[in-house]
Formats: sequence, structure tokens, C-alpha cells
Amino acid sequence: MSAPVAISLRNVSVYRDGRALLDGVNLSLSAGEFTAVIGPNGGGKSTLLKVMLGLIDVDEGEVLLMGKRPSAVRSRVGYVPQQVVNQPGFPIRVSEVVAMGLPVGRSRGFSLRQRQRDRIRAALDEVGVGDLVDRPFHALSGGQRQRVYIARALIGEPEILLFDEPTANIDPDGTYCFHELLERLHKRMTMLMVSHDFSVTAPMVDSVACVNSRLIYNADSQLNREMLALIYGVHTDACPMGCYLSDLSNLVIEHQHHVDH
Amino acid sequence: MWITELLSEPFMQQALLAALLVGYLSGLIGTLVVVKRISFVAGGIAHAAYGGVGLARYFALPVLPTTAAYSLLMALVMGWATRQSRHRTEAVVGVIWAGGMSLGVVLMQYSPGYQGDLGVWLFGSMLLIQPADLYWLGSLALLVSALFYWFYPLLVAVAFEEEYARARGVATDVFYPVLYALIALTVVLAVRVVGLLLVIALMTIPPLLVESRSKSLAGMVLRAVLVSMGLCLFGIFLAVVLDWPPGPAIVLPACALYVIERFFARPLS
Repeated sequence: MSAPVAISLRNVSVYRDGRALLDGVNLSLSAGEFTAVIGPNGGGKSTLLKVMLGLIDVDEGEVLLMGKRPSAVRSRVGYVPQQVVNQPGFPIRVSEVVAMGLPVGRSRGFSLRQRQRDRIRAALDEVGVGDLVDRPFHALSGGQRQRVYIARALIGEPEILLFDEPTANIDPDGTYCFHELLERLHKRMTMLMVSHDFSVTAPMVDSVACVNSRLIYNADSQLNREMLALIYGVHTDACPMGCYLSDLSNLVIEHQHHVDH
Repeated sequence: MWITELLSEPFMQQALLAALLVGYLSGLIGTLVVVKRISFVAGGIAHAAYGGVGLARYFALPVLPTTAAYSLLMALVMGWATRQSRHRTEAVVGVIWAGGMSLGVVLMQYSPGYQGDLGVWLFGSMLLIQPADLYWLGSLALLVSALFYWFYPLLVAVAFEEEYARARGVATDVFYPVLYALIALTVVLAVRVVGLLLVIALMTIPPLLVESRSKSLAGMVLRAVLVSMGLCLFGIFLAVVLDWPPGPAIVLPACALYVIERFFARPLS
């Protein structure tokens, strides 16, 4: 029996200023699937994510998460944003950051209840940073912050977990730890990760979607000629470098396996 | 002994109480202004309020309700502009800022009768403080405290990471109009203590002084409120002793503190 569909986009288009950010996108991901979304800058990767989060309304088509509109299943979807230090020095403790992942509107006042603190501690322990619970968030390293963001996403026990460029601005050690964590989470929930660095994510994912206004999906973790043409804007069959381009993803994956072993 | 005599004067008691309430409100609202980096918007609302003073004088209307209504309207326009186009906010604020001040000056010039000293609206005057002001200030302080307590987790989420809060289903569209409206009301009620031109300093300097030493937003608010109230009390005494307008007497020590704090600033580790 096949797994139920977790994420479904049918003929989705988003237009801004007369330009199609997403153009007739179709995508169907099964529960438990781990998918990488790659594509050039400005190609619509983040727009795709925002559509799934219900942050952007689509102009055409339909978006369903677990069979419902994104706004109806917010509590069942976790989100790990890109590491952007847009609020340097913001006075907030790690526990308060993670508490944002708890159901909205259920808590009042300045302090957390003991039950909430226990859940926060458990979520932080799961990602290996339980000892940071009372630290100021801005005093953490990039890798530690990323783990706190993942704890915030996990505390709501999501069925779908969305990542936006999770390894951007993180040092190599932090990236390695992050991948270990992803391997543990794999199969527990449906995961979709927007990433600019496919060479790093390729060995872990089940499938790959390539976005450049249009979307091409491949049910295994390799890039095909059509995807490369969509990313680089060249038709590999007609291009003298076609062979090189089409072999690129294989080389990348082989290299990654070599590094891992 | 002169202090005891001074404190027994009703006008001084009113001035001190008003200063404490203004300090309290400025610390609370100002913390959100500082962490959301919207000092320019708060400055725009404060300066535009002078248009409300001009309207009240020209049409012989009660100053406080007229200025409050005008400021609220301008605040809502700014809130709407922020929602429509975030990158155009500063331009809209600039127009409302300059337009409000200009309207106020022109209407004051054509207003019938003696207009008194414009400086009292711009820099505050303890003699203007009325018992009714204390009731309004107290009511606003209660309202803001209740909102802050009730919505604190949502406020933290919106202030820290607006997009994430929206993805979680928080009604972030309500945040800016409500915050701007509270800024407008605080500005109008603080006019008599610090004046329109200097209220923005009282809203921003205390939170800036304590930001780097605070581990949570609630901690920052508490510190900012205490510093702001202390500065207001000190400023009122300074104003009486040196015969200064209260606004500069409050803001100058605040600026001096800020310079000293920057000199010795150490980020929290």
C-alpha cells in the first residue's frame, strides 16, 4: 500500500508585477518522503515554501497539505527558516524562541508553565542542545541557533517539516551535525528542504524538485538533463557540454559517498 | 526643607505623578519601538501630532481629544502604509511628519486670540498638567499593561520574527496599527510632561540603554520602565531647580547617560 499524499500542489501559479514566480507547478509528495528543492536564486524556491506555509496566496491552482488548505493545518507543519541575523542583539532566551513553536494563543503572561518548560527542554534535548535552554539566543553560534530553530519546529510534533536554506551561514561542523540530525528525523515526518547546495543534501534525500518558475520533480535523488536545462537555461541535448552537465549530479553524489565513507 | 515644601505643592505632586506615568508608558511602548526599529515612525507620529494641536486651537476645540483623534488617524494611515508597502513606509512617514508640523504652525498663526508660548507644546510644561491628564495617563497605563501581559508570547513572536509568527497563524497585520495607535496616545498624553519634540527621546533612550543587558523582552521592558521613570523624576526636579522646561531637563540627562553607556558598553555574553 502506498503512503498517503502529504503535500499536493496542482497547477499552482503565483504572479508578481506581471512576472510568474511560479508557473503551473505540480508536485505530489508522499508522507515520510524527504525532498530537496533546488534552483537558481530568484527561481521561486522560497516562494514555493511560502505558498506551502500559507504566507502567499496563489493566483491559480490549489495547495493542499495532508488534504487541507495550509491555513487549516498550521499546527501540523514545522518550519525552519533561513539563518538570517535580522534582529542582532534581540533580548530573548532560547526557551522563548522554542516556545514560539507551541500552539498559538494558549499561553499568557511573562513566564512559561512547568509543563511548557518540560516540553521545551525535551525538544532541545532531542536536537542535542538542552543545556542552552536559559541562554540568550543571540549569544549562540550559527549551528546552535539552527538546532534551536529545529527544536522550535519539532516541539509542535509536526507531520510536515519545511526547511529554508538551513545550512546557509553555518560553519562546516554545524552543517555536519545538522545532517546527522536530519538522518534521525528522516521517515518520521515528511520533509522538504530548500537548498542552494545540492551536493550536500543529495545523499540524504529520497527525491529532488528543481524550480525555476516551473518545477520538475524526480522521484530519486539525481538531477536529470531536463532539470539541468531548467537550472542553467541550456538544453543539454543541443549543448556541446551536455554530457558534462548530465553527469554532474552523478559525480556530485559519488563524491559525497566517497567523502562519507 | 525646600524639597518638602515643593512636594507639598499640588502642581508639583501632579507633575511628579504625571512624570512617573509618562515614564512607565514610554518604557513599555518604547521597548517595542526600539526592538522593531521603528523610531522614525514614532518620531513621525509625535511630530505630526502638532497638526492636531493646531486644529484644536484654530477651531477652538478641546486640545487633548482633538490631538488624540488627529494623531490616531495619522498613526492608522502609517499603519496602513506599512501594510501596503513596507519599503515605502519611510516616505509616507516623512510626508505625515512634515505635513503635520506645518499644518500645526500655520493653523496656530491664524488661530484667534492669544496662543501662548508654542514652546510649551514642543518641550512640555508642568503648569499645563491637569488632574484629568492623570486619569487619562493612568487609564492608558492600565490598558497597555493588560495588553502587554495578555499578548506577551505573541508580542515576542511578532517582534522577533514576524514571518514565522505569521506562518504559525498569528494575526501580525493587527500588530502595527495597534502599536502605532498606542504610540499616538502615549505621545499625546506625554506632551505636557516632555513635549512633542522630545517624547521620542524618552521612548527610545531608556530601552536603548538597557537592551544589551537584557536577556528577555520582559526583562528589557522592566529595566526600560525603571530607567525611564527615574529619568522623568530626576528631570522634573532638575526643571524646578534650574527653571528649565521639563522636556529638555528629562532628555539631556538621558542623552548623557546614553553617551556614557555607549562608552562602557559590553555586549551580554
